[in-house]
Amino acid sequence: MSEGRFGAPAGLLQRLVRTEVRVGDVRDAVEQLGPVPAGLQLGLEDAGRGPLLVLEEGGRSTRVLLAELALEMTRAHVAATPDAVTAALTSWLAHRPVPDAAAAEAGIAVLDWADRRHTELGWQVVVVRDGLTVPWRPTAAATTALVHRTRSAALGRSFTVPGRLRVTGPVGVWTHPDTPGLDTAVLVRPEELLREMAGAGLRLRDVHVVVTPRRPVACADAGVARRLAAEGTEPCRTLPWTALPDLGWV
Amino acid sequence: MDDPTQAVLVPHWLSGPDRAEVERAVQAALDGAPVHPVAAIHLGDVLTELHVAAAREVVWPAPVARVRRATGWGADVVPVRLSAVELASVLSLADLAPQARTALTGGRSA
Repeated sequence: MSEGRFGAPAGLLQRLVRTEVRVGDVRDAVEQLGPVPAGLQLGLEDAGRGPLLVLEEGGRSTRVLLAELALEMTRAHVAATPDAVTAALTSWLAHRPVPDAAAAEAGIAVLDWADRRHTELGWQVVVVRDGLTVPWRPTAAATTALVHRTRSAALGRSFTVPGRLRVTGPVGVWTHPDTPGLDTAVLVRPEELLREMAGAGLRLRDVHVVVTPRRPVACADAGVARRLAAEGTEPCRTLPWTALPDLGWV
Repeated sequence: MDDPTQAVLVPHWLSGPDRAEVERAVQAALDGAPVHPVAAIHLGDVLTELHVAAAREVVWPAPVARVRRATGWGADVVPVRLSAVELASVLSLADLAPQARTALTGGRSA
């Protein structure tokens, strides 16, 4: 099951017994939080609209109202207990925005949805943090040159991202061995994938790739790929192999 | 001709042994006495679907896992999506074991 920004989805009981997380609960969790990741500074400020949580990291500043966090936690069915709110806050911090410098140093290019309706794909720079892949959105201070350099370096790193091939009949499925979410990085090197699939006995003539961002990638001939994606309950996009180089950035 | 990508594919929830039996029976039919070419295509599509069902399980495990949790079905039960003619082509195999036949015709079929 997919992880939300506040951790694993609530169980059925918690969804039925809804409780309200209040600003004080979040404030207590911030004040009692254990060690935070190196380079990250947390602070509380009182602004006109209420207390703010301020994150400073690598030149990137993020400010969020505690009331907003509390409301989002309530909507995510987080229990209003110290342990649950602390766990939700820790998960939210793991999803915090990626500083430009961190993306430049360690960004990896993966495929993500390019539109809200989940119909188009594009490349996205992500950073792996605590086993999560967190997308990078350039700050307002990021220059065009920095964005280009960061994307280019991320594509370069994706060439070294390993992929594990599993062949099941006429389908090849590529999975990242350790980090869910990095599976689509292998698509920066399509020729190598073709060679490896041929080496594993899977010789495809009209290769299509079935992509759901953050999920393993399936490769098959057109008809089999259509069958794989047909009537699925999760959004996916089927592309001819030759369309991969034309994908832009999200 | 019935195009498997255009026809409605209906999920049949089959356990590991059921799927192995369907695969065995279909392969035996294709390897045995000559089969009508159209029937051979449908049987070939059934084999493809068995592989595709396994691939779907790797790519998108969550929706099927939710169904298993709700129904209490075993971890090896996955939906095998067949068109009406593909299902008919499997059921026409006299050699198909009763348990797999039941799974396809009643059983857990949605």
